[in-house]
Amino acid sequence: MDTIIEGADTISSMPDVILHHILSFVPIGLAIRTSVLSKRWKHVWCETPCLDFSPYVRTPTARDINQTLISYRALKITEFHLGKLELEDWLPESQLDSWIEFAMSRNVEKLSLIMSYCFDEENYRFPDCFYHSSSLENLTIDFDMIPRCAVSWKCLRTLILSHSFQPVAADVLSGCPVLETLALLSCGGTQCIDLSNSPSLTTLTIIRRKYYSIQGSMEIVAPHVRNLNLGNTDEPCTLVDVSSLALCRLGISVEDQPYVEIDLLQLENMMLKILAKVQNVQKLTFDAAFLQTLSLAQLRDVPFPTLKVQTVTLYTMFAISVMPGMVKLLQNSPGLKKLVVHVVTDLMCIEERDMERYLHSQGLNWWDQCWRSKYEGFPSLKGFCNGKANLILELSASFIEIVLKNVETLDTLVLEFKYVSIVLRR
Amino acid sequence: MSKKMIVLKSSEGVSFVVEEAVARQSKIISFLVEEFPDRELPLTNMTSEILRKTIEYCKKHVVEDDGGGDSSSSSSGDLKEWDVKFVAEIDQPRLMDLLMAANYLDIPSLLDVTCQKVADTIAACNDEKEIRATFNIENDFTEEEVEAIRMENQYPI
Repeated sequence: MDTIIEGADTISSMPDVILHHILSFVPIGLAIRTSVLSKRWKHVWCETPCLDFSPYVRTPTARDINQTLISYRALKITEFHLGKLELEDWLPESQLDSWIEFAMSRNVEKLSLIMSYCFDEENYRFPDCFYHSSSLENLTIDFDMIPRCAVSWKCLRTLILSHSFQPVAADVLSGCPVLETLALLSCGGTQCIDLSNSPSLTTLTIIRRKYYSIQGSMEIVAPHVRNLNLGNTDEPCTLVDVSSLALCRLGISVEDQPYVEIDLLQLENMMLKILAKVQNVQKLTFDAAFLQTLSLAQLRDVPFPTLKVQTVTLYTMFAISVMPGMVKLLQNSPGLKKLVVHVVTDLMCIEERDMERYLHSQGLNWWDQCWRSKYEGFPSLKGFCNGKANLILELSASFIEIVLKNVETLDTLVLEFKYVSIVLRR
Repeated sequence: MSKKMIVLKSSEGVSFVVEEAVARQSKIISFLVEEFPDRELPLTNMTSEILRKTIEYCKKHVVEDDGGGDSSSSSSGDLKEWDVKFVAEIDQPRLMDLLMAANYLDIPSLLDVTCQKVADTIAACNDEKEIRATFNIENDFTEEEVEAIRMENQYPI
């Protein structure tokens, strides 16, 4: 590598280990394709330590995967990802077992299996070998684990479960002595998340989803968690113990389904309780739908907790349904030093007409009088999101004015427009 | 307290004075600094241009130890964006050299971003002909041999 020779085939002269590293960033289908480049490349792919079966050219079939595993020669797998498959029928459980056994026998470090739709997930039980690994560091699955044996994942640091309806079993958690990050995505049902016996687990993400088939409610006991990202639905959620929190992001998962009615009263009460539980947290992040709920509370004149927060980050539009909640939040943060606002135009929010209907049901008809007069000039969500760049900038200026009027302690105010520019360019 | 500086010397004999904390992101340099303190470290297989780029990357990625240890959480996303821009601005022959430099100096995160960029370039090609053309790879297979490899693999290649 002394001098750069233009036109030279540098890549083929690189050691195998580097070529493997390069190929570990592409789906295995593409890695296999490199075998026809030249003799040098013929066998390179079969020792790349990462097996990512993401669709390439076409979605892989079970046969493609089995064929690939026959030719594959690496003794150590760092990553194994199985996702979308081309299926004629449900996969037999033995097939899934054999892939898991393959990955586990080669000491996989990062395993992701997003394939609950491929087989009868409710009755599937992982083979026992799945639950014993001293190499597994990162696991992502989208179906529930019900171990029939003791769990021993000595090195597991990150566990991501999506579409889960079962609480993570205590014996799973106790088998992960160094687990740092737990994420439950699109999770539903009744769950008590008790992490009091997992002192190393400091980062928790819970994004809930409302399912029609099953009632949801959640209790979170997480005394060691320092960083919580919580996306709620309007179904009950109680923070029982979050006494170590230093960072918290609060959002609301609003579904894009017009026929779903959101219980705004329940949502509002719940959010205020959650807010009271994070009173002592230093860094808080909120999304627009959460601010909208606070707007409702503000308009109904419900008492607000005072926050000790020092840094607030917002992902929001400057729309009339967001402003009252946002301003109230800032007013109730007397120690606020830094405010970072990511201006967005494509976040899911609560429909304003639902908010209006709700206020009406509470005997309030303030939408026009009180609200519009105080934040005159701020458009509806739609008006903001379809607004031209100069409207967004004008509103940003008004917003800054309001902030400076309401928060005296502020050192730093940052407005980020990177999510907007993408939309504007369209 | 003044920051400790070390000197790295490129293959052309150009000296670069770098903060030790910046240079220590290379495991090799970290080792050499301990073995040979206060010595100029000759990197005879690295051109000034590549060494300069490598230092630029390390400067951006050095973890500021301000005692708080709680640096802004938003910076990791910004750093990723910076990385993408950093490798996007480099032409391919130099990218290859930078990749080899990252490998030689043992800077895992720089190796990752350069390998990722090469992988993206491969993925952006429509077929193997385009991959060969992009990387100047000479096809030393006969057509029959290529066909045989295709037959071996069920996967569409």
